[in-house]
Amino acid sequence: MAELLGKLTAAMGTYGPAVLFYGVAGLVLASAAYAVVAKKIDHSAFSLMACFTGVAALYAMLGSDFLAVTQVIVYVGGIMILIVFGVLLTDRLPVEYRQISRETVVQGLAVAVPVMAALVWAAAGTSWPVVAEAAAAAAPPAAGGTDPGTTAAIGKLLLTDYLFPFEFASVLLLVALVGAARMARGGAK
Amino acid sequence: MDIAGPFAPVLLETLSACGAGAVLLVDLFTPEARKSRVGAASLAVTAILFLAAWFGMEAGGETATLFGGSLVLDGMAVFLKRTFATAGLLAVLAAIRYEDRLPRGRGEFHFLLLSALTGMFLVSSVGDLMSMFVSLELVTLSFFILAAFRRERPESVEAGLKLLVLGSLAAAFVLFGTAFLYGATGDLTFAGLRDHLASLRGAPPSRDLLLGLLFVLLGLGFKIGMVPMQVWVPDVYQGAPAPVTAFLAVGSKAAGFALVLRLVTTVAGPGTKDSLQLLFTALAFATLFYGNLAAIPQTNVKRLLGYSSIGHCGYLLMGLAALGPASYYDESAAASGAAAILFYLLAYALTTFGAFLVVILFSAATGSDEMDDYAGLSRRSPLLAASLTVALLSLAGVPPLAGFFGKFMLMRSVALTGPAGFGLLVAGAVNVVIGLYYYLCLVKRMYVHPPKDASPLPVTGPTAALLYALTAALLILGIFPGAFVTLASDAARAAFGVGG
Repeated sequence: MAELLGKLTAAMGTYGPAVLFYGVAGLVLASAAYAVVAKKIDHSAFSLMACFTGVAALYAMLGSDFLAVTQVIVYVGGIMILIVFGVLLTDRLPVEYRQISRETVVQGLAVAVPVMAALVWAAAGTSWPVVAEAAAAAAPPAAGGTDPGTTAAIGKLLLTDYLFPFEFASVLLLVALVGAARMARGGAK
Repeated sequence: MDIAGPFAPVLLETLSACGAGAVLLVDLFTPEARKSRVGAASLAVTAILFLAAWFGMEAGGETATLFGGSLVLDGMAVFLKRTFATAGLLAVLAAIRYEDRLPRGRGEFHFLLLSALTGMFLVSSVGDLMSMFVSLELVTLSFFILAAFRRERPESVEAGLKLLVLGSLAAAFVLFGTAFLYGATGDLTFAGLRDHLASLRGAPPSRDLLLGLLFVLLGLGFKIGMVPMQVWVPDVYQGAPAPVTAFLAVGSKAAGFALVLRLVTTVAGPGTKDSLQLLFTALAFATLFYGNLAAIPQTNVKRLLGYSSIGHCGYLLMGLAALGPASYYDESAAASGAAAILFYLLAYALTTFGAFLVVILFSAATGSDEMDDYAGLSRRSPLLAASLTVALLSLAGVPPLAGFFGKFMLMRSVALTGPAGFGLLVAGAVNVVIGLYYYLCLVKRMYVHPPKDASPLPVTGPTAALLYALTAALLILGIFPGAFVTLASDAARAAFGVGG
């Protein structure tokens, strides 16, 4: 029994990350698919939440701690609340709001299949560099063994190399604000 | 004259962003009865921008960069900024003639026109993919609100929503492509992309890089109305307020082509030119025939101009197809293609506003955009009919107007690539004939058909002056294109790295 457990643990150590990755990726795909085909809009919304959370987990597995946290705060925390509010406030719509016709499916496939084919073609023909090992070799973890994470590096880049797009995004937000005010106020005299 | 020194790359952007804010403030402090001041403030801003662009910037100066290469000012950027400044001035002039029909929110309307203009200025000089995305989204976001601005009209809301949904799809393509490009090169700057391709020494680039390029191009294809990303064009052109449609037709197309040109001049090289040439030839074929054939049965003027703008995108793509096959590869052919695109965009801006100004004035007087209502316009208002005729003939490419010379330059650049460009040349010529047919159908309605309602349409003094000025500009650009062609050629040659 102990021997079996030991083998299992060893196997988990080898295949653990792969099992975790395919599990989460499967969850993301399944919840994204359900968000599209669900008959009720609130089911779609909650399915989307599962999808966002799964994507955050994928980011974390890739070592992007900052991105994973941002994903949770912005998408799971912010955008999902907005969507749920939107669903709550549009209760005048019939709840079973959607009929997926054969035509929609055909049109969707006509776009999705070529894009998918292109992605597979590119993914199959590219030699994917393994970044984590190279980076670990180049910059060993600081003394004490703590991983410095990506937040500091992203912060530096935003205020140096990408200062312009970072700052200019505020103008974009101002325009969005004015636009939202205009759309909410409406065209009534 | 260079009035901004080292800050030349952000001169126009700063002025127009501050001007947009100023317009909002003027709107805030102006009583309801004097709202025409808002338009006057906006006009003043764009007039300053126009003067600064044409007389305050060096066209042939050194390439200047700011923000560590996020913004680049070269000859191509200066030429494009001048085109955008001209389009912005004309858009505000057109908007002032339209704004009586806006129930409220003139301040926001002009603010959004200026913010879109700011985005266009930036688009013409971005140096990395992040800045490109932010600037491009500034243009798209402003246009999405502008298109839906007349919320009381369902068509206007539909136009805005279509622009939003399909625009988001296009933005997703651009971002996805950007991620692939970053994965392939480890760099987000155009300079880094160029270095990466140069380091391949003529070997074909990896598949993920090609896929990234393709996705970014498809996303940009949305802005320029390229087949297969053209589905939004007719509905949005028809539903959006007419000054917005005109600005969208010119601004979105020119902004998209600014980036496509920037991308193509970056990646065009021995390893990529075959695929690029094949791709753009196919796209030009599809776009030309789709736009021009679908324009024939149209009955609404704005929709007709929408389909014809898809056709014009096809002509512009011919300039990119002039990259040439390997055996005939000649940097000067590629550069002449880029120069033709730059010149064509300027001519297209003036022509489109010439046509849309008449559409705005006509629908203000009659409340209609239907082609049948244009019957007998020559008897109701000879000036409107004549201005629209000149603009339509320029769009069709009839000498001696600006549109003719633009098409001539595009065809010439394709001809320079040798036998491989022959098919495209024939396609271009066939489409000129198709275009002439449907433009002349409208001209015939105006001059031959009897009017349903013979009441004359008065044109006020300043409006008449504007129409005369635009018509004169089309003639001048067509008869004396020399100075502008030189500017465009120098810019394109510098971008492709061809000496003198």
